[in-house]
Amino acid sequence: MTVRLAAPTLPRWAPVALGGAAAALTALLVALTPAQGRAGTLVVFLAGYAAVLTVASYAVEGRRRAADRLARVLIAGAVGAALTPLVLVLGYTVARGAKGLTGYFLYHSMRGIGPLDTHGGIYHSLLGTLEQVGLAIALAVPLGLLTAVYITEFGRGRLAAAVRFVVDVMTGIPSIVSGLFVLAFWVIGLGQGFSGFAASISLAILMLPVVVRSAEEMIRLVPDSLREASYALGVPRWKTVTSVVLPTASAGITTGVMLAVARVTGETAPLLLTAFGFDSIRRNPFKGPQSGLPLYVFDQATSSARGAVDRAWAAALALILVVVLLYVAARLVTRRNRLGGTS
Amino acid sequence: MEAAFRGGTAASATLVFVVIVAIAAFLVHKAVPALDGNSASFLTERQWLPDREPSRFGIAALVAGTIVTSVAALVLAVPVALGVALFVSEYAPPRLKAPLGYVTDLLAAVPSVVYGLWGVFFLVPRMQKLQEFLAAHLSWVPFFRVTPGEPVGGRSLFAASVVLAIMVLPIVAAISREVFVQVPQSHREAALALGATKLEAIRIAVLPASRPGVVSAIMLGLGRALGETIAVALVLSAAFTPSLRLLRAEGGNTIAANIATKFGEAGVPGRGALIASGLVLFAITLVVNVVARAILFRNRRAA
Amino acid sequence: MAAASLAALATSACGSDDNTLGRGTNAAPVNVTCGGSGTLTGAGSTFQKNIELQWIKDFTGACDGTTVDYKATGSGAGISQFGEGTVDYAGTDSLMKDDEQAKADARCGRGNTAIHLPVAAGAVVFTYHLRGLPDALRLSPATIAGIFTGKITRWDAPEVKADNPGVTLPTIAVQAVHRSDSSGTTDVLSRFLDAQAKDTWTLGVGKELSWPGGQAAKGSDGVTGVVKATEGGITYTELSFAKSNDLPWAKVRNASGAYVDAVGLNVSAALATAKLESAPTGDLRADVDYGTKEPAAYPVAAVSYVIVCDKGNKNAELLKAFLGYAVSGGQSGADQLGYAPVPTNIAVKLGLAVQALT
Repeated sequence: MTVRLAAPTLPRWAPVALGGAAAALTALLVALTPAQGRAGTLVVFLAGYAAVLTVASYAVEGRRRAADRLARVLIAGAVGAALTPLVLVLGYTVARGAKGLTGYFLYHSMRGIGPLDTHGGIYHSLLGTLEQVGLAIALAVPLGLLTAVYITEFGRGRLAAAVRFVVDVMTGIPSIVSGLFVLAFWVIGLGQGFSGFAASISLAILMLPVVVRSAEEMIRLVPDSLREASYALGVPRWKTVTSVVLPTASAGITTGVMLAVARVTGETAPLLLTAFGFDSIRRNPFKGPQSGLPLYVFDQATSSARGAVDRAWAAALALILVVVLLYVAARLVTRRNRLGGTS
Repeated sequence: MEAAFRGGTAASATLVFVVIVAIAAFLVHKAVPALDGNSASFLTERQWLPDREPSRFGIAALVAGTIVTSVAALVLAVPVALGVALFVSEYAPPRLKAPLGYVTDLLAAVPSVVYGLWGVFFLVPRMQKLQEFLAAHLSWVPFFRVTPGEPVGGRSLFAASVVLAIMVLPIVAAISREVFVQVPQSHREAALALGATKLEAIRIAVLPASRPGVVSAIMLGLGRALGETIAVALVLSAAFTPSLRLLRAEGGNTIAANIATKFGEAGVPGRGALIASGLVLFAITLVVNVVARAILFRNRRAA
Repeated sequence: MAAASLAALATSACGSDDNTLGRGTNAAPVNVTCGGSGTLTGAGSTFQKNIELQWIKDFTGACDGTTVDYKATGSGAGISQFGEGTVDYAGTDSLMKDDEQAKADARCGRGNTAIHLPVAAGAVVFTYHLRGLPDALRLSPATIAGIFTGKITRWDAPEVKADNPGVTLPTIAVQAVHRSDSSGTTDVLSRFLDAQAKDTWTLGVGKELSWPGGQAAKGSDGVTGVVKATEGGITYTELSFAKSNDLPWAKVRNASGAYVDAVGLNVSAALATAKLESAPTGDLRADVDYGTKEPAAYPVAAVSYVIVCDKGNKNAELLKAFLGYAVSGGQSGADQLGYAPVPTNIAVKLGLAVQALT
């Protein structure tokens, strides 16, 4: 009697062969039952493959190995299932939007575009978005940084705990609620009217918790030895924070800020209630309604005018490009992050 | 200077605190008159007719729609998201890990209005066959039940849930991935050394340690789904009869989408009513987020 | 870094507000009398949107130094914004309620009044999606009421057959689609049915109704979009939306018993019989008679108003010039856009009211 040291395993070619078997099974099923379409066929094939492989493995290798193989197939399937919508969303947007994204489209507004016209552009919206997001950064970043410094460097008492809790709560504010607040309080309550700046306030409310959290985490990662070295040289605390702690954490903080910016750049709901929209170029964000890129997409998508849907797709593509640029920039900054923290 | 700096930081912290309290207080202040004028029960009424005489509105249908779409989205997204997270942390060759992380993050960065646009023009028409198939063959599944003769598919709750699922997937995947990665490598190696298969190592070493983190990831995804506005407003057919039947072409409605669609035509009581519903949404997401944070926090301290 | 370069792209090279390349495609010669300068903003009715955009294109294209912007937020929002002073004029499909009127008057200043001017007219049509129907469907008010209240559930129901003798109707379910948002078209539909199909129509009158079922979508584009995608679908919408989606619309029976198509002349014929209420301030209200016995009248007609101050407008010169074009030359393009020209009896009074604005 021979003692086998290694458990029996499926030969290396088995998955390929079983894949063939599953394909044959799928072809049979599709032929016998009413046609299921491409996606349906793929699902049937994958399910068939998982089943065939598991059964074969169970017979040869036993229950534990079979479970392991099944898990691998399922996890690979999950990755496929997650990547498919990304490819479809981006691919379809490019397919529908690319031909509309011309120089004319980028450098012209919607002023004087009649319901039967198919031209017009997004310049006024792009400008509006850049101004609104820029102002939101100007509002949220200093406030968020100072708050984070307070929480990490000074705050020990009740205020720090309360602020930290409130920041956690703020993370969950739905964007439409932030827009509602600015509309009710700033636009109508204080009689300021619609403006790009009103949109900036609502975007800043959404950005603030993200900025505070990422700055807080990055500041905490700065080694205490750096602070202590600074103190030992007789440097006062405020100077230590501004010239030692913050510069060390700056790359990480920048990444956090840029991810927050990428997030709010695509926000539509608050703009609907605060910036309102405007068809001509308006450079001054403080007075009068202004357009923004996400709002433009929404407006055109829900318009009956000729060419509106094509404009919506081209603008959606432009919006994705803006967000992706911000996102890539954030990633490039992270690479240089001296603290090597998470983003 | 020291005092000024310290004072400055304390002032900003106080300002942040004041802003959030002010938001809550102000919204309550605006909502109260509308609620006073409501002739129906705000909690149980299904209709939304605040500008009628007498004013009549309630959040029953909206809350039902909000929760049903969000939960359905999670049911669809969570298994896939966990699979992706496990793949990145456990299976992927090191060279693939970073790009896959970027790609899932990118999915999270695509603006919701683009998802909405895509949902309406691409997904819904292509999902009609699938929805009809589900209604015809899987109607024994509780939420897939349909009344015979009733229109099926189109911009149903199910379609909206699928779009929401695609949107929350990257969030759940990214946070779970971070949680899985934090499990010390030595734990996995110990399990493998004892002869465990990869799956067993995951079940013994990775999953138990990450459970609180994963739960909190799911809750944060839920928070995102609950508050999503524009994508739902574009995709979902806005019906006003609360129903848990996902495949009904009549659809449903959510709090956030209702605010976006009704705001234009709302009069003064209508605005107040919408603000009141916004407060309810705020409260729901607040509870979800606080629970998520609490779980994560407790986990951090225990670890 | 990338963001900075993008910012540089958007701000360094100046964008342009000049979109006049399309002027050659405009069939009607533009006859504009300019006046005033600066910016005028309007907001409100989605019903008016397309014709407003056409007026703005014609007017600002002809008059240098003027900007007019109209945002279709919905009538209710337009009225509130006018009262809050955030816009110069509002567009609305229904008359202001008393409290809205009071707020609007207050905005106009002491002793001044906010007035209604019926500048746009059009039809609400019943657009449907039925394959293989050779001619336009014919519908009576009672059948329409039955369809939207869920009493008629199939296209081959006896009521539909009675309206369409000799036509083979498809044996499929009716998929009625209504507006999910508050809407002037819902208001017109409900008033028409309340007047002409009292027995079947049980939902009352209003911009929002307690629908017993059926699909819903936001906006006119939303409902037509659903009908376009749904075999057996039917909805009510402005004619322009049916046209731009290449969907057919039904002939509707008026009180004289004739089934009438919603072409511009028939709509104008219906509106010509509307009761006019005018005030010395220039306020002009048209009460549409849904039961008009005029044989050529398409009965589901509607007017849409702009609201301005009789005196005390912020940029009166520009407002006068713009509305002056809208009520005269601006009406000539109405048919092409799916609207109907405002009937002459109303147009004459409108012209006088606009001239009197300050």
